[in-house]
Amino acid sequence: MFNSLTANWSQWHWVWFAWGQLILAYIGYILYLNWRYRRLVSQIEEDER
Amino acid sequence: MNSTSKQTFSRPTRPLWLNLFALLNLILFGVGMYLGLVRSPVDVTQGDLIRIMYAHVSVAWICFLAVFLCAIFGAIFLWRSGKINDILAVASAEMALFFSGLTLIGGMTYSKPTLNTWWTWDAKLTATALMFFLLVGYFIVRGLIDDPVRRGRVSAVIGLIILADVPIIYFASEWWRTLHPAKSINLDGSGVTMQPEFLQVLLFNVVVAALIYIYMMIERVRIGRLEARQEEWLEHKRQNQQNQKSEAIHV
Repeated sequence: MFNSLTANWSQWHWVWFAWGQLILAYIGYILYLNWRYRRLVSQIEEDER
Repeated sequence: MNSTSKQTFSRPTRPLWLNLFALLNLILFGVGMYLGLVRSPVDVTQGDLIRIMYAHVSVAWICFLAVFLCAIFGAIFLWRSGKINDILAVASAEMALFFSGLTLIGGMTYSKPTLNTWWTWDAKLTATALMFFLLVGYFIVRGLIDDPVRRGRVSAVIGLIILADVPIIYFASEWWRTLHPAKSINLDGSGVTMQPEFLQVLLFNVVVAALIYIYMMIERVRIGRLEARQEEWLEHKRQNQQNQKSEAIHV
């Protein structure tokens, strides 16, 4: 159980920390997938030229 | 020379429906956040920390789904072969790795303020960490094998082994004494102990996470198809060079 006397962060800090990491992970991974796709397309164009 | 390598490569266009699907996911994720952070009632014991549960549990369930589908596509590849099955299996394995990483990090974030520890080596957490490292191993092994058919077969077997870990994680809190809370939703028909106000928000967020999984799968499969094409082309080029060398030796 959450103990507000010993906790350094408030409950809402933890809630935003958890949701924030989820948002960052989703955005980061989608950007990474797009980067990989564009890099592959460029490589294939380069290879097959 | 096969028909694929004869065709000149034209830069593929991004379909409009994929962008619309991404936008739909973004909107639904926003709605899920609103329900979890604003509309959900405060829990009697956990207070506002219950809002972390929607992010953590939805991701954990989708991780199980990703492992399950990785094993299914892998099994189909073992049974009937077909490059697309391997592409789907590896895409789902990558999603499983991503979602299991999120499950572990999100779980630690949930555990610290509620149970006063980031981590403990109890059965449920250890089995989840094992799944994460088995998925890392899945990609290490794939990187070591050049032959696409053998690579697909070996990784399909690893996928099936990883699937065996899912019921261990799911039932760990029943089979052993764990710090992780017991399940609130029992799939064996013994009922749901979670209040409907919390359950509805959780299920909505699970559906949103499933749609995000589908979106990411589509993006990853597009990459997988290009990788297969590139691999095929490089193999063809290598064979051509070998043939030219052997012809030159004969001359």
